[in-house]
Amino acid sequence: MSIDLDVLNELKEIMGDDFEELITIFISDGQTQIESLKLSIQAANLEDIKRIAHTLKGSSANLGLNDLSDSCKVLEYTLKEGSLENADKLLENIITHYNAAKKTLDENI
Amino acid sequence: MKILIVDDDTTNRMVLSAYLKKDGNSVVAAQNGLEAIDVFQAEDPDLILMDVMMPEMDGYDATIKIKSMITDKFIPIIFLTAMTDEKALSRCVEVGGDDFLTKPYNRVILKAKIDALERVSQLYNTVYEQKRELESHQINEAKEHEVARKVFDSILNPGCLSSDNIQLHLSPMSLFNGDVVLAAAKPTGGLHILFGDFTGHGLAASLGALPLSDVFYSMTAKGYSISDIVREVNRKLKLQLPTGMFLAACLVEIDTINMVLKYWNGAIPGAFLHKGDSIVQLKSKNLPLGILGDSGFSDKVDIIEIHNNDRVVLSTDGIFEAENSEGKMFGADRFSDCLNDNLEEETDLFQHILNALDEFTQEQEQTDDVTLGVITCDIDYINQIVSQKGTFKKFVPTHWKFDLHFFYDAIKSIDPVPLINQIMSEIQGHQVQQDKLSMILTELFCNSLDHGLLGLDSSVKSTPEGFMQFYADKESRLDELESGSIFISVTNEPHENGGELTIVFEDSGKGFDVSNIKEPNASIDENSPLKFSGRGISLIKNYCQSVTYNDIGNRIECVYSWSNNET
Repeated sequence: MSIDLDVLNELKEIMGDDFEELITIFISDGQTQIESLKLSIQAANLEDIKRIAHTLKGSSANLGLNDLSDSCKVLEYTLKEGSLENADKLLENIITHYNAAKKTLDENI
Repeated sequence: MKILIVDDDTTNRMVLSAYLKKDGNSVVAAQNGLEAIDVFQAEDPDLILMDVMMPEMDGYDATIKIKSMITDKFIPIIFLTAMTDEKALSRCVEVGGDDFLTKPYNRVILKAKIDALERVSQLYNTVYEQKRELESHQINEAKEHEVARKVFDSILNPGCLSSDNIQLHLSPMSLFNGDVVLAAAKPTGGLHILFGDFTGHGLAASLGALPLSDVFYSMTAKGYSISDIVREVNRKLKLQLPTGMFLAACLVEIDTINMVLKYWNGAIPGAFLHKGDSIVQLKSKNLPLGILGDSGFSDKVDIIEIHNNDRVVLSTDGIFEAENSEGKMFGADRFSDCLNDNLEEETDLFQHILNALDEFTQEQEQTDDVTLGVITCDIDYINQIVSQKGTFKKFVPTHWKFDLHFFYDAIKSIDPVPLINQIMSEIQGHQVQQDKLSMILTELFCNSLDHGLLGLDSSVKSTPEGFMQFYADKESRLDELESGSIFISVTNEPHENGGELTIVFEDSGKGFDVSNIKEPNASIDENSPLKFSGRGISLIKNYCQSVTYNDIGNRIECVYSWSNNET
């Protein structure tokens, strides 16, 4: 299951009106983080890439966006090995899952 | 609970906050470690959820800072982490984290962890509260002891404990072990020392020291003997101390005039006289003070001859009970071995005993309970203390005379004997031996009253029935007395070491046939039928230089010699 709808539904139930704001912020923060990742990869700033991937990994997991979280984890761990080799490819993977997640979230508000 | 969430990611904070609020907690938030410290100080949360990787200041540093700021309660910090590597997790514990929560958050686990930590936190805070209470009690107690010690020090130290011939090992808190040491110079020369050990511990054990020192110092200053002092101390402690509390004590007088040591020992085992070549134990022959009533109490002192520089060694049982690391006690045998050890003159006995004790107990800090005193009978030095002290009123025999005139109504309520004694002690101190003088005065007063004013006939006292009748008559006649008076006059003619008192009693009565009493043995013969009467006059004649009556027999004049040299 790429997106855990149970998690989303639970949050929706608990947060009520705040849920929509949560989704909006997640989508906008996610967009910003992906832009930052692009720039950091171009600048080969390993520390920044790791930190941003780590953050996005955590926040997406909390919303049940498992594919997105996993793709961030792969990037984070690859960089921990010290390799920038596949960074571009891994970022594209993240973007793909981000877009899918965004679509699901929009539908669920 | 008020929970502080520290996370740089907005959605994380929102999700956590929603979960926590759902479970009834209130939530405050910070976006990084630096902000977390501010919010922590401003909001005083009960628990903190801390992300690790954050800009400005990461979760590790923030945790170290916050934990160092917490002094008086337990505020758990739970690390929020997506990390799984062991090194990072152990770092969380190192910096003071109390638990982890891994992302994605599971509501059930989150709640379980918070509940668990809340219980720990409550337990900790209860224990802390109790600890604080206990500490504040301890601080109070220490403060009270300090105050009490200062008060007691000022009361207990007007004597001469700091004299060079007195070596004393006394813990500052000895008072609260019940130990008390008093020393005072006698106004006529010589030294009084009291070594005491109250039953019990703590402040209660020290309270008896107040009446004790009061009696000891004031009576010593007035010239009373240790017999008188020990009797009075016993009477006062018996009266004032609660049942079960008493004072083991040894009173010592170093009499530099007669070169003797007088002592009274009630249950102090460690009392010795070290005479250089021999050691005499000052044996306890009495119960501790404050147990017996006055009538059953013995104030008998023992007397030992002393020589210059003999040493009196006094110790409470703390020294016997001092333990070494194996739990063995120093004991009476080791103590007495110590005394026998060195008989060389120049060795410091006091230091020798303490060294032996230290050697025995090794690292054990036992000396706090030990009270030890060594008093050297340095005669010249002791005599010098008295003259240096100068605090005592120096009584020298002087010229004086006082007259007292009591009329019939005053006689019914006043006993002139203690009054006369008191006047004389004010003028001449306690140099005049009051016990003998009191007997003389009492007889003189009785004679003036019974025969002179009341006209009673002593001869009826020759039978037991008559004796009773005599006193019954005396009571009723005194009650009915409506005129008359007794005149008393006391004159002192001083000489070098005392004086000659001329005591006159004159009553307003008819007098009696003086020729009777002038018969040399008329009233002294104990075998005569008059043995219930006339004793008074024989007693007066025994103690006085001379006894004379005027012709009509209403005026008697006695001459009594006194000397201030003690016997």
